[in-house]
Amino acid sequence: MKQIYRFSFLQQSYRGRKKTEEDVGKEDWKPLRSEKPQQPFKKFFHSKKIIKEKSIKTVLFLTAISAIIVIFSIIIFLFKDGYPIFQTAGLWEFLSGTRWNPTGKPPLYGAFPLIVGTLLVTLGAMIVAIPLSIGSAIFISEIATPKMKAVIKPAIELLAGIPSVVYGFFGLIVLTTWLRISFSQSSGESWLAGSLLLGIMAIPTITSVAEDAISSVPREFKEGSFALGATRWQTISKVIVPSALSGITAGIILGIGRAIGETMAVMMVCGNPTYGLIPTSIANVFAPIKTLTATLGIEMGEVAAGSNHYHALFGVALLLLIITLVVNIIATIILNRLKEKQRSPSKKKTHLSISIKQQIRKTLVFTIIMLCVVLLLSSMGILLTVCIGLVVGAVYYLRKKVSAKTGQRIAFIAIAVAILTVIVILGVILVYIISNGAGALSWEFLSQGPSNLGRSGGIYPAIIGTLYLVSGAIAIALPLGVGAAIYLIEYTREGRLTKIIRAGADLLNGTPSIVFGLFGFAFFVLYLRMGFSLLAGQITIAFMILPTIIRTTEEALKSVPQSLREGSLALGATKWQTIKKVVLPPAAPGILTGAILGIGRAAGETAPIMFTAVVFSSFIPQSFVEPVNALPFHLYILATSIPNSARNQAGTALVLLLLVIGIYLVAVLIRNHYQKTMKW
Amino acid sequence: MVKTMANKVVIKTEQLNLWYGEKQALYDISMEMLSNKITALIGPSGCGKSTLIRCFNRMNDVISTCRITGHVFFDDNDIYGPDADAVEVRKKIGMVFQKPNPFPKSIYENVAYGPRVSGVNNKDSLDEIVEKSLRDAALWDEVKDRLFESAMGLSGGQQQRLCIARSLSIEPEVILMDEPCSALDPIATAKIEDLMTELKKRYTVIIVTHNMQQAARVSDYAAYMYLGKLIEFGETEQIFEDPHEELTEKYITGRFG
Amino acid sequence: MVNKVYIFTRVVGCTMSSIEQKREQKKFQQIMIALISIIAIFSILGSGCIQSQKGFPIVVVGRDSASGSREFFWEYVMKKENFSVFYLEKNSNGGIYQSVTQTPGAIGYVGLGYVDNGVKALTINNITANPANVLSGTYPIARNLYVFTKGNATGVAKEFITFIQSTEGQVIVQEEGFVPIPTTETYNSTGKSLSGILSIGGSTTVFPILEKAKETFMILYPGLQITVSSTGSGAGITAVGAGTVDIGMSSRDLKSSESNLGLVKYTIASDAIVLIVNPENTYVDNLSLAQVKAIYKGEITNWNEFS
Repeated sequence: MKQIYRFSFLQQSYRGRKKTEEDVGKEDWKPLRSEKPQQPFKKFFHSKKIIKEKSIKTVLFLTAISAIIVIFSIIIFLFKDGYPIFQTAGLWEFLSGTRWNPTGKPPLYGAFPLIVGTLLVTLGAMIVAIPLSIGSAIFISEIATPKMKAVIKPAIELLAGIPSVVYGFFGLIVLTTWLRISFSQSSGESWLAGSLLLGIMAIPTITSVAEDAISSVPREFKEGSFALGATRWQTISKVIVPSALSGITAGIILGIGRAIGETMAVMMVCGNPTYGLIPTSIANVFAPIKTLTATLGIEMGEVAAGSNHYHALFGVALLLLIITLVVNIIATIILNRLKEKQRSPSKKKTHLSISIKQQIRKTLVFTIIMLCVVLLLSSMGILLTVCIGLVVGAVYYLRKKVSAKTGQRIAFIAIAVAILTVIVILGVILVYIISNGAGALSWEFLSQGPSNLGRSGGIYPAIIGTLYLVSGAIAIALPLGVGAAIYLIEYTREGRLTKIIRAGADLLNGTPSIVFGLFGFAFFVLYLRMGFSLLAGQITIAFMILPTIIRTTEEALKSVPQSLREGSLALGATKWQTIKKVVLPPAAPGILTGAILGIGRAAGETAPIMFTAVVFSSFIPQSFVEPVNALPFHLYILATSIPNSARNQAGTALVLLLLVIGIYLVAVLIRNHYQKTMKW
Repeated sequence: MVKTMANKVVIKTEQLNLWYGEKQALYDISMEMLSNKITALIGPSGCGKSTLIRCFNRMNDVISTCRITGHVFFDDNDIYGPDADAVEVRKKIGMVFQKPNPFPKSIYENVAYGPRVSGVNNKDSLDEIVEKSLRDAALWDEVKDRLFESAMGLSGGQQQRLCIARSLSIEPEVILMDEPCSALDPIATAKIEDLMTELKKRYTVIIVTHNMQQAARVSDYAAYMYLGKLIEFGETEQIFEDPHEELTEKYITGRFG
Repeated sequence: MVNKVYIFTRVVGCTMSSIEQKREQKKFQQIMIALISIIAIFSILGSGCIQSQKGFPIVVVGRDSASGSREFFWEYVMKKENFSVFYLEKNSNGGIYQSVTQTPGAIGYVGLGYVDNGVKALTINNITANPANVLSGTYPIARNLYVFTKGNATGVAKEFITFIQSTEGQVIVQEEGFVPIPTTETYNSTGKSLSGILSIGGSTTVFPILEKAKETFMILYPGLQITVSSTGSGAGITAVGAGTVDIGMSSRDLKSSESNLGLVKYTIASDAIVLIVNPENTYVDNLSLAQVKAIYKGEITNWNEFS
């Protein structure tokens, strides 16, 4: 209605312009804006807006360096509390000692078996996750019909949000028992259990990122390949996947980071041999192991602050941080190498001639092969090594001999197996939780506090606590993160400062959540004397999700084409006007998605709040300095410390699952809705 | 005879040099552009035409490695001087880009954007400005029934005319056009060329084009550039029929380009 | 894997090239694939890369290194010697209970309050773990459970501790399965309504007692807010020493490093460390302390050594 009114009004008010040639000249043409200054344009004056512009820029700069400040404070506090152990025990002894026994006589602080445990579990997880993820990603982006894709893609994105404590709960109750019975072992709590669980947890992450990368390969590449007579599989394997390689690698590295930093799930299923145990043989996947993160999770809660044991744990946290840093650096190097290969060759010529490079490559290949053979021989025996060699050789040799069509069929079968495996595994987990937990759900369950130590009664305080924690965290992290991203993308050029900020944000992104928990404990609970409090938990979680928000906002801003910014500037808009009116609106869905991903993560994490905010009780805080219960923590305590509470365990897991998946679902819906209405 | 104001010099460059980092892109450009005329910058690819035109509204500020020496005067004011504000400059000297870049907003909002950021908030004023700009860009009849639909739904030619309408909405004195027709089909191109001829009656137009025939059709003055230098500048008729420089002749006659 | 094959194919490729030229090439390849897969499958199955275990191996389970219960166990049962390298850590009594019920070969130690029909409690030196034997001192591994306050307890904390140490409180101790301290004092409510917040933290073993006591106490005084968190004995002692909680719970006495915190100790219960095994375990009903130690040292590794 309004539209029609406007048209008729316009038609009435418009004074027609004579279109004859004589009737021209600037005198006839009246400016319609009365606000337009009438002076002759002899001088350009400084706009009063400059002060506003400058102050906005300063505010944004401050938010940008907040990421650096956070990471520095974490490093400082970890160092402050961890350094004494290096003085007491010596750095070399800490890194290479083969026994972790801080309460023994004499106390031993050897973290080496813990490092080995972390690496083994990560390696196993990647062996499980990478083939399945890449196969699933290829399936979703290239093979699935649009209907299938519309169902599976959001499903996998949602599954990336399942909290780790839920996986841990499933692992503890179902997976370890299944492993023990199926393989006739004495106990299912093992390296294998940890690897399987971590691998499953990493699959949604890697699949989402890899699928995005594969989808964004330009159509021209595919069409060029088809135009040369290649089959679909050949196009996928030789053109699409290689061009998406940097994105796929980024996804894998994200998965590795997640595996290294995971605490709750490994703590619940890996066994945790007390001195840290190095499996005697690579093939003994049923040996229990203890990771760096599990050590922190188990021992931190009960250690006496200020004791040597306490410092030793902070030393472990420092170690985790350094490992994260190393992984990040390696990742950056690999990604840069990949990107260089795809661009035109750089001006720098390699110093070595091609033949020397080939020779180096040959010797490298040879040594790697020899290492593999030795490893396999020592752990699995000669028969098996030879057999594996034969199988691999046959596969490789025959690969060149089968026709393209057969090769495609085999490949597609493998991919189908991969995607089915992923769906089945995730389905089993969901079905288990839903079927066991549904029985516990009732209005009382959701509205009452726990009684009898949580065996009966409800989880209301935990629900409220989670909501408080999450809303506080997002209220802190969202402005900081969005501001930082806007500053990085819009106000700076690539230089040393942006590199430092980005490196800081990346490091923060990969930092394990348990390290945040320790930092929160040392800084907020002890140093600032906040005690176990809601506020401490909120700030800790905010720091944890800050890099996610920065990263997704950056991506959203980058996706706005530069031509829009130039168009706006050419119309006389200031920088901030351009950002506010032209850049932010199309970027809003992306920013919103990042915020909701952050919320989902905040709701499901246990480790950051375990030492900063939570008590297992029916307490609902009335102020920010009181402690709080939270759903993931409630589940964790029920699952590990309260026997005979199986029904409520499953019920809590189900509620947590529904909450987190509900949040993610809201994100997806808002994003879709926004994308439709953005076309106004 | 067209009744016009006396043609004065609107934009004048003096010894303008420009570097992208270490690489020099413009060498000692000195030229004057007159009001209510269409001046065309012609030359082969990479000769610096787009770089030069972007100097006129300080668009090169967006590129971090760019630096210039020399002067660019607009109505006797140095737009690169210490007193000058790039934002204000761009309100006087508007730009239409090679690839149409409408905002992902409605047609109305696209045209109203310029006035809005200048402070015009009155609904009625905006309505008038929008309609006037769209009429001046010869787009009104085609879009008057769907002003509030997304601008992304228009054809390429319509989008470019929308961008022209957008730049007209803030009533600049000069309109810069960087190869405005290179992404368009011949019919749309013809429409825009007609539009240019109309616009010059009230604005000064400077266009960059790699299409010699377009320059010959449309412009009053032509500047031939080659490898960053201004080779020849003069009235279009003279450049095309009687070029003074050998390089100009070679380009005009199609020996290279 | 690809690297390994690089050398392999250089070798194989040379010998295969002459065969390639024969017309039965495809059939030969198919046969080869089939044969190799069969060999591979059988060898994987048979070569023992998955070594299943013989007999009935013992799975040793216990608490983590910061636990008061473990500290006690290590001092009095292990005589400060090292545990087996396969000792699996759980961070609570409930966790040990869970492990033992889920794993047939497991053995663990828990507080008396965690023993029920879901597990089989072993007798030590033929003495059953029950309150009578703990009070009389015949059960060899028994200890006291404490709460600590900074300085003498005052106000709400004092009321609460008095309540726990009274007969009503000790009924709760008994209900939770622990051994009550001998007392005859009944609790007299103060009459005036108490209000405020009381925060308590510490030992996971003591946690259920105080959690239950708090529920009763808060019914008596509805204006009161009490929070109990199980962070471990060490953390509880530290917290009460630092003033971040009002009462600290502990399943062990103060260490020498903690003696200068100015804490006052109140005994609220006695407890026994009970060795539990899975009900399916028919190999043992009784162990001597020396045998317990041997199992936890990793010297005895299989249950069938006991038959």
